[in-house]
Amino acid sequence: MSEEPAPAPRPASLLAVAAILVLLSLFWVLAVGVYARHRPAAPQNEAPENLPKELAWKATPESRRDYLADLREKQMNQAGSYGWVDRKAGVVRLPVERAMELVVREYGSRK
Amino acid sequence: MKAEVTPADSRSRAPLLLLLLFGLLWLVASGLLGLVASVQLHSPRFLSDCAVLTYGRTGALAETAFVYGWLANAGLALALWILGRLAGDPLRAQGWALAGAVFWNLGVAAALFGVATGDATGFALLGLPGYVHLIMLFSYSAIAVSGILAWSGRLREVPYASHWYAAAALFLFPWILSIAHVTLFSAPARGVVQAIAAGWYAQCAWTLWLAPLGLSVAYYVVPRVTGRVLPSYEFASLGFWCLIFVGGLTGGRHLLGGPVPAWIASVAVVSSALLLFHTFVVLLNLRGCFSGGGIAIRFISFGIAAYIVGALAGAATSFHGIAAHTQFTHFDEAERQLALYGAASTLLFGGIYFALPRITGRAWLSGGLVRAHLFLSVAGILLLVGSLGAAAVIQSQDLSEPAVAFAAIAGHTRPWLVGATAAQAVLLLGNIAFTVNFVGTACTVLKLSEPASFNPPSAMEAPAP
Repeated sequence: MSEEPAPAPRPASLLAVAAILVLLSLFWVLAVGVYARHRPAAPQNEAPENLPKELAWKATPESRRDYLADLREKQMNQAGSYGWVDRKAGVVRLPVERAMELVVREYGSRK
Repeated sequence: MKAEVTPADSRSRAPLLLLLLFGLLWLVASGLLGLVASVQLHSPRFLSDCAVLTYGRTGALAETAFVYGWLANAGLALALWILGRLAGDPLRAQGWALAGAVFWNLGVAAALFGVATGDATGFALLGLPGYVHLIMLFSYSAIAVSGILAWSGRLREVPYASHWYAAAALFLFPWILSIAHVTLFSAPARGVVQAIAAGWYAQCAWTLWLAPLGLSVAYYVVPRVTGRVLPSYEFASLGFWCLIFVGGLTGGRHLLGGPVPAWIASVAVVSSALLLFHTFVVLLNLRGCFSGGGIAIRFISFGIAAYIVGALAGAATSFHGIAAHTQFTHFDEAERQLALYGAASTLLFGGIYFALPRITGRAWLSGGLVRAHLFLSVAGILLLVGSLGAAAVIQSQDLSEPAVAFAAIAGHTRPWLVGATAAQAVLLLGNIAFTVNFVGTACTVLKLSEPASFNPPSAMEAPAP
């Protein structure tokens, strides 16, 4: 069986190839080159002096540790001391131990 | 005979055969790694002293080799072949496709090396370490050049369904990989957004890349083998656009009950239900494949059946009531194997059985190996999905019983996991048979002294068992 030689592939223009490559890479360029570069960095990756005041505590491991220590101290003070929560409404804060005693007494007095 | 083996076949051999050969080598490699991972699932001490081959790495290695080695290479080869045939010309810019194929596979090899040395990402279907993404993207684009040139130079102004699916896969993969790279690697989203992005990529890799590659093959081969126009073809475009617009939105179903905004899960549930329309259209168009035929149509009918069952299972498990029983069990793995192996891989097998005799101009070397491959593949997939499904049922029942200890659950599921290992071994044998047959057939075109023996189409197909 004699076969005619198959025609050679038509050459592709370099412009068409380049256009296709650019088109398919455009997603990457837009995503990585534009979005990722202009996305605000996480506070821990920024220089401390570039951060706004309310986020300055996130800048370094030391500042985060100090912030956590302050936060816990404040919470412990609140959980262990007396104070007003809302003076007008008559709502007070009392130490957790005392609050537990009152709750136990209240439930114990119920019949 | 000229209509059967076209210039698009004989003059486009080099990139197509190279891609298919790479794909088959990765298929066998992924089978070996999958077998090791499967053994480790029920016998954790197996190779546990070798860091490179511990379970976390072998599982990721097997998945990466299967998806980016086998499915990508074979899917791209068949997409180029189909687009070339529909253009009526040999593929153009074959040098770009050849270079792309070489660099793509170098990228896969580098990714596997990275995973083996501890750089696995932990994201489903995206085990590729971030540093290979750029080479993967550019090599994929270089391969796609030939396909897109063929697509733009098609013979008909109005493209066929096989055109749509092949072109969509070529265009959409660079997009989803770029988005995943940014949101998970170069500027990683924090907290729960990362899980959402990873779920989105995993679903898009299936619905916008691998499934279109497989469906392109089915839409091309079925009407040619059955000799009939696809029924209800007017719905095919609706099914295609339904998959493109809705497919990616179903990713949130994997996050049901997780710490994500409720609307993400709700959108996923609605999208999963909408996607059933696409599934129904595929069944409507391709139902002719179930009426029998040659070996290619046997594989494709099995792949379409698996695709439909997988879509129904995906829609069902997107509901909270059912997900409560299937989440965190082996069901996810069963569903993934049904999709990747049962549907995508089997459709590509069918496409290769149809394409290779036309690309080489010769019939398959061994009918026995073809029949062995069909039997072992079908048996292996049914056993694998069935075993994992049964293990999932037991696991689900045990997990809902607070008195059953975790170690006891592992013991109860062990027999079924051993069954899954047997299935992996069966699949590996089948894939070795396929690879040997492919290499033997493809090597005949290298014997330049022997004139090409163009056989009638019926002789090019291996007989159905």
